[in-house]
Amino acid sequence: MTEDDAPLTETQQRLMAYIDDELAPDDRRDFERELAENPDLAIEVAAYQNLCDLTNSMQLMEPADYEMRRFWAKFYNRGEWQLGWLLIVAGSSILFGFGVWTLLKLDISWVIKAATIAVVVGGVLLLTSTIRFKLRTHQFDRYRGVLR
Amino acid sequence: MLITTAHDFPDREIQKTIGLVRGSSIRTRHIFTDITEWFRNLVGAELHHYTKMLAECREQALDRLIEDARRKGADAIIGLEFETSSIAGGAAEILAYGTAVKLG
Repeated sequence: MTEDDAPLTETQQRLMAYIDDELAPDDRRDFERELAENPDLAIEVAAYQNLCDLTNSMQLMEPADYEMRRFWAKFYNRGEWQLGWLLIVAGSSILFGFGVWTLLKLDISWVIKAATIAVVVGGVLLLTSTIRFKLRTHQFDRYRGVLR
Repeated sequence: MLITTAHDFPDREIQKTIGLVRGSSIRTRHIFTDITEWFRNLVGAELHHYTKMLAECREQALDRLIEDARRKGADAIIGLEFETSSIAGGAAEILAYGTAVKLG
């Protein structure tokens, strides 16, 4: 056990309860009377009050946010992530193009080919329209700054 | 606008009960976010994008609730509650409701 781990004295417990406004009205009055008569106790209360004000005024960042910023600040980590995405997007695009090319080469009725292409083109149009709408309205979304 | 989860205000008198007010919102992230969070899900971590999505949804539902109460002439809401439902997969869905009142 270190000095820091030593149990609090009764006076210290009352002192902290006084600063945190947890004392009953009678106990509070008694403590304030004691405070007026004991300058050492008044100095200790002032020190605790300063510490309390200091910790209340601190804006602590959550470790996860701090670590995340440190992680993404490194070039290698950003590059690894971006390369992963680039490969996924490039691979998906090639597979999509290959699918269309295979479809066109298939020995099936042109009606089926036309219908399939219509479905794909329709889907792309709907997606494009949705993305355009999102880009247009994104700047007016007042909740995009909300984190948690 | 005063809002409480309790059914009264200890220091204020309720002059008139206006009635039910509510606000709801459903929000999703885009597919790239879903993929990112899927990878995070594999190794276990806070899903930051989903935390953000839920927070956005909660704030929007709350703002809509307040707007509803304001439109009905209330100056406070008591008995605030949040509910979630499951309509769309991967979406955050929140309904906020309470009782609009006029304080004395």
